[in-house]
Amino acid sequence: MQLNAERMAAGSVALRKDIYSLTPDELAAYREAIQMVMQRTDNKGYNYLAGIHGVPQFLCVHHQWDWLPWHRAFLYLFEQSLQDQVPGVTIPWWDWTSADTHANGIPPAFADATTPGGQPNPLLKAQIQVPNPQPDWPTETSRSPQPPNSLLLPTSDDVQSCSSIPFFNSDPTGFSETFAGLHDNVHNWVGGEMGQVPWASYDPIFWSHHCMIDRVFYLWQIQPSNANFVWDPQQLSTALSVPGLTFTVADILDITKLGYGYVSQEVVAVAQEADT
Amino acid sequence: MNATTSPSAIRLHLKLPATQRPFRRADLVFLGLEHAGPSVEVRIFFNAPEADASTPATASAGFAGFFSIFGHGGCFGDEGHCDMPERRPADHRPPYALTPFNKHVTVTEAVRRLIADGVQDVEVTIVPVLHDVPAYVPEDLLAQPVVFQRLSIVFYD
Repeated sequence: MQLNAERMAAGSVALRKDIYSLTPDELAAYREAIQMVMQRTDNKGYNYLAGIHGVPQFLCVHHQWDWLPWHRAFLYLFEQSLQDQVPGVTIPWWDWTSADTHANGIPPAFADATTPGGQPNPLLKAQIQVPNPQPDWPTETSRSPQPPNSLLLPTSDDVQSCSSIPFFNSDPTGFSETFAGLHDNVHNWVGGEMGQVPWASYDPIFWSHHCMIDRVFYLWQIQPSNANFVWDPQQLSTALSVPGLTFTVADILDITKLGYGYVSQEVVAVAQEADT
Repeated sequence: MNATTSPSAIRLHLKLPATQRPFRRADLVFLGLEHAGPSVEVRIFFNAPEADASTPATASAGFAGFFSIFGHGGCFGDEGHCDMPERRPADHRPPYALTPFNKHVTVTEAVRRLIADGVQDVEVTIVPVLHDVPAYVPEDLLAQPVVFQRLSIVFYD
């Protein structure tokens, strides 16, 4: 993520990338940031942040018109905590419509038991520590993914079909609620804690699933056909209930103001050796 | 529970209009769908009353569409935490998280096939499919994981 740190120092936004296209160094930096956040027990720590969405704070928004803005703010808060630990780190998105996922299931970055250095992979699972846990509550995350050919795993055609809807949330047939259905399907395809609203955000794959969700929301926003889309003023002034933030919906619509952007690929030039 | 299971299917009857106007799209609409229970895949079949989790998702088997519910899987707060309180006039908190929602499932092609076959009476079989439900999801929620108030079909021109 060194390039992102340089970009940010020069006043540009940090770039979020596809988990499949991260360089080994970028993946190592992301894992390092996750690991460091997991070690914290304060309000910049993993359990506190995950607990905003589910147990014990239960502030997540689903099947309401502002579920996409709310999760954008939530990911922003999480990414800021990562960048407090490792400058320039961004959340990579997981394209669950990709040929890789449809052939092989969950990406190795999340599924491998260990890192290339032989350490436990912090993207595989997380410890769950909540106040007053009951004996049967989960103490760490696990997954039970369905086969890649399951109905639950969305295709690029499914996303394209959603993205072509020109209105956001006029009713359940709008982009927002239709896309919520694909979002739900991926949670349930991964299974385990990801498939349970109160526990989903404790799974490290949650952030990359929602980064993909946020990316599709962003791509919907910038479609030329939506250039003249006008948000209802009452919606724009709606506060997003994410502790530590004071965002309204209007504040999160332009992701460049949140300091990040999305790229599909990046190729970095290397210096040529001088002719001898 | 460590396997895919299928609780009892729900069967409802719909009667298509005797005179069908041209339509571009047809949706099944689940009004008041609850999401407090377990996460569940929901497969919908037309005129296939015996359909269950093993029935192929093909047109010839009557498959019409599917969706899934990302459920809460029970209550993980103190007693009464998930009870839906009556809204007080000065309660300005965000909407209650477990408020039921409305779900549209597009079934255009399946409806077109029925019409082409001259079928007007439709038995809708709703097959819940549970995958690897964690042990902490209360057993009593698993028998009826799909709960809604009403089902209708709407046509768009």
